[in-house]
Amino acid sequence: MLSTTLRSLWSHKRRLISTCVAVILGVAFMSGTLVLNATLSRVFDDLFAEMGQGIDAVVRGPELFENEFTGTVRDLLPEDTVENVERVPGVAAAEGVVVGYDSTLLDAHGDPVGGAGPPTVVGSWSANPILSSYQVVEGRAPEADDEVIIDRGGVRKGEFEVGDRVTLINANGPEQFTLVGVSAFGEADSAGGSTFIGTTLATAQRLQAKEGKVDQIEVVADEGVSAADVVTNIREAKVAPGAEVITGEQLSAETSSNIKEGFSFFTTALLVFAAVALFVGWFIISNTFSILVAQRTRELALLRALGASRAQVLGSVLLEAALIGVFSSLVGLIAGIALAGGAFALLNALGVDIPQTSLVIGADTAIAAVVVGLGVTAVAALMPAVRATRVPPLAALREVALDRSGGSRLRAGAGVVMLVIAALLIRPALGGDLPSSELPKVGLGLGLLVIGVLVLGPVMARPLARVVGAWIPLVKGVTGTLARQNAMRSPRRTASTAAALIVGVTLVSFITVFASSTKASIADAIGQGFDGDFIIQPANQFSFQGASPELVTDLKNVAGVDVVTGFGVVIGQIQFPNGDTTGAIVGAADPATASKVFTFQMASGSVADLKPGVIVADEALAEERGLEPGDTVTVLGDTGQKLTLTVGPISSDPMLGQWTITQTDAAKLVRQLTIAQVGIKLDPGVTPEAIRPALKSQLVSYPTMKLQDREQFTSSIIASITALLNVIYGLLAVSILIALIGIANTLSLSIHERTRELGLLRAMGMSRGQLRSSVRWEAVIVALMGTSLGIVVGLFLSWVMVKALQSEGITEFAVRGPDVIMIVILAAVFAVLASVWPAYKASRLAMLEAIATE
Amino acid sequence: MPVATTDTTSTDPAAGDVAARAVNARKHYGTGDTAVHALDGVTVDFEVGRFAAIMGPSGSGKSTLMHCLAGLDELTSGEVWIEGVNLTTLSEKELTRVRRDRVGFVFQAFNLIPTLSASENIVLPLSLAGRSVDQAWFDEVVETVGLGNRLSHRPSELSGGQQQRVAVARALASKPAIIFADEPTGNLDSRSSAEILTFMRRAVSDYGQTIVMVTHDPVAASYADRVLILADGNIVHEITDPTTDTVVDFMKTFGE
Repeated sequence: MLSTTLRSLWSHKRRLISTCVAVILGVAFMSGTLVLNATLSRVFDDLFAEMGQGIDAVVRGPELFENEFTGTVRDLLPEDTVENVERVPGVAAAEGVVVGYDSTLLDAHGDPVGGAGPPTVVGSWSANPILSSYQVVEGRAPEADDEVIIDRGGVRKGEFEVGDRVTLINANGPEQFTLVGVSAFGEADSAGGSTFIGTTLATAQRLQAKEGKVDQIEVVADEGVSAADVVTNIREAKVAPGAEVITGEQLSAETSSNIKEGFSFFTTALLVFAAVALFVGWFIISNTFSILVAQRTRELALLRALGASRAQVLGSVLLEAALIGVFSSLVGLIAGIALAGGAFALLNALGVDIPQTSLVIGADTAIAAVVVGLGVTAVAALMPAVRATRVPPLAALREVALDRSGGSRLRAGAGVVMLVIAALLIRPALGGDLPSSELPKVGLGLGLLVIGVLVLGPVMARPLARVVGAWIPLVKGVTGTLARQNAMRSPRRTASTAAALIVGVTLVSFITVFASSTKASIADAIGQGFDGDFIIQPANQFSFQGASPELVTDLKNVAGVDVVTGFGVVIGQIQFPNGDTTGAIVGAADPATASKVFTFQMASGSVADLKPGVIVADEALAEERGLEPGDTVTVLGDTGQKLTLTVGPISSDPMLGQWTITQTDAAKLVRQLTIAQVGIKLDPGVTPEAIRPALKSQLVSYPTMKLQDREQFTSSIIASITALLNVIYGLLAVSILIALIGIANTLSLSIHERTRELGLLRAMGMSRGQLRSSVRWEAVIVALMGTSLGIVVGLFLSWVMVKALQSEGITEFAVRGPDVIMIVILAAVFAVLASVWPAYKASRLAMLEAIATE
Repeated sequence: MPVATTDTTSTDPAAGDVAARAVNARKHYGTGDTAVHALDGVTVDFEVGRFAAIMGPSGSGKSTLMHCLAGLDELTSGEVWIEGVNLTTLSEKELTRVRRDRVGFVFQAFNLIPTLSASENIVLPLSLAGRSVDQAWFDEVVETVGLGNRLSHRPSELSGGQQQRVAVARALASKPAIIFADEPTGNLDSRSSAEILTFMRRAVSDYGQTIVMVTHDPVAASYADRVLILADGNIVHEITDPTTDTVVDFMKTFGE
């Protein structure tokens, strides 16, 4: 039986190529992501291990709270703790360190260095070479308070030379320093592409409003004293209240894992797309095997007639699948490794300076690749294999009938049941006002809906092909009729070919419509809620770096400006009446001016009611936490300060975020309150164009802040959604590609099956062109079927999601006609491309062989 | 009976009464010692309005001769003419057009396109050519082969005999210069065979259609006006106005 399997595999090798391609693409996607992940992990582990190499122990302040946006926030240590540590037995040297991330370095042309990439770090330069992870490679270390040393990467990007004056933008505004040296991070120009600016301790403290304090104290132990011992000694010495002491190694591991957590979201997202690609591939594989088994009915029946058992037939088909699975997984793994290599090259080209490391190809990656590739192939081949065992030995002696069956009653029933359950799960979302706890159920319902549609595919394929292809015979005559009939002749096959496309197109149209709905909702919210003329906010939307509150006063003084209102941001923690805590980003508003520039949608109260001691809560959040006006919550800031505030107005406006307090209160919670967003309203009669230069001149000191009029403000938000959308399209493209390979594959296999029929047509006088056209149109019908179903399902999905997310501020359901038409046209064009090779093969069939009677 | 297309400039003086002709037709497969001479210099005319049968043992070259005459296969050397057009000089595209416009086919099996209805199958060559259907002629042909109430059926819903009647109707519908039938009754029982052969005979006698039929069956051959016997790639004998008996008698002596 084994040799029969191998021989059959070999004789069908060309037909199996596309099956292999489907598995290879999915596995490559997956293993590429895993390799990328493992390599990045190794890079950061190495990086931080190197950083902490000379450090035996670290003393740091007590943890204040966890915040999902910035990680653990800790209290500072008094600077005199350093002396306490120095006195501890076993300590050779101790040094206080101050590090901050809120500064921006300007390059020689006055533009920010780094942009949206890795952060700019301002820290105290360590005089002790053992403790410092940076070494001076040119010039010297900073000695005076107006001197800095910058790493080689930063110097290159900023186009500086030692001796230059460089500008640093801080919370208080711009400040000039003299560049006295260039540093290197071990062998590398920079630590992972970040820019490190070393200053004196006093300067670092002043810039970050940490006078008399340090973030942490780094310790070197005496010769012969172990890190563990020195940690114990420092702990016992109780150098500062609540201080935490850990080894340098622990710190490295902790920092590294924090960074890795940061990009694990990215990895997870990639794996989701890989899963979609494999799911789509599954249909292709299943389809290919179904067709191969159908074509081999006679051969299988002959084997059965000659005494092969059902188990042997099953085993033979599954063995074939397993061989394909293993082969494709291995090729996919290699392709994935190449992809990961390409991704690193791309990251480096984009300026993310990743130290040179060889790719990490773990055994787990290889095992995952083979297990997933083999699993998908074997499971996909299982049904066709079982069907193969049902071939009666007698079939060897009969003419093989074409499988025209659509769906069994069981299939139709199962599909309908799934749709009904899906409808029940989705229903609550349609009423609007869906509590967010219900969202997962709705998501499940939507998933079930897609699966239900796929299950019903074969039942719907024939009528759908008839409708979708109805116009083709009118345009293309008999060629079109043949194309349509061929698309309808084997509903199950057509359905599973289309299914692969349905999945891809559903996701594409869902994402497209959901994004355009989000855009419309945002444009709508801004249209209704923003009464001003200009918005100023950081050019990099993911940055919390803002401007000094002085900016608001300066802008107010510009002639022609009526009202200016600024919003600050507090990273903190909220404690609820029941003791629960949550990390939060709290907005800081000036109620008097804010309500003149913005009209916020409120569930109760008004932003004008906001005063010190009061906090505005978001409606959905308040509902979820059972908060009502009059309840109190405690807000903890990164200074360790706590404020107990009374819940006042309840907001239902997405522009306000989850929490809003006054700037007066906010100033007590943070060291330096910065303004992250400014709204400007002009005097009546003043045109935005007339005043723009005057406003811009106020921003000269804040190059990271961008002045935007209403339109620019809206379009900048929309642009960021579009950018995200393009990334998602790119990732879904892999799935669509697999689906198209599936169409090409099914067509080739069907053509092989129809050899005689095609020969007859050619003998009857069908030209090669007509034959190609007929195959092409068949592909178009299948693609249109998959696309139209996919679009309908995708539109429905996005409609439900828009309804369900109404309370999150997505209020508009926007379908752009051109988007939908574009998807349909693209699908048709790709289908034509997919049919090129099968059509060519069909037109080159040897006519005589095709019609020879025996 | 005038044929549908007569617009070709004739280069053959005998075009008027010859529908198809082979001149010194040779077809070799392979080279050297292993070469097979399927046709070894066949020269034959098929006159307009006549029914010819080609017989011969397996491997005698009768199918090859028919395929070459019909433009389905190429000769190694020699010439093949249809209605005064030399097929050996035509491109693949022109050959396709000749088959579509001037030649009708009836095969032993796989005669119909399974996805098309009976009537769609009948007009297929016309549809492929983009020509309009002569409704009166279509009705007459359908009437002749007795398919009136089965026109909307798919081939799978028809019996073998009915399918073959559709095939004959299709061959007649486009009024080709010549119809080639390759064992048209090979898969049929004797009653259906007799029906099909009667239709073919009537097409020749009543409408002046030219038919060339390859067959093994002396009974089938007896419907023809003449029978050509092929052996080893050559015409070795001809029987005019055959009966089943004369054909059987000859085949007996031939077999010895």
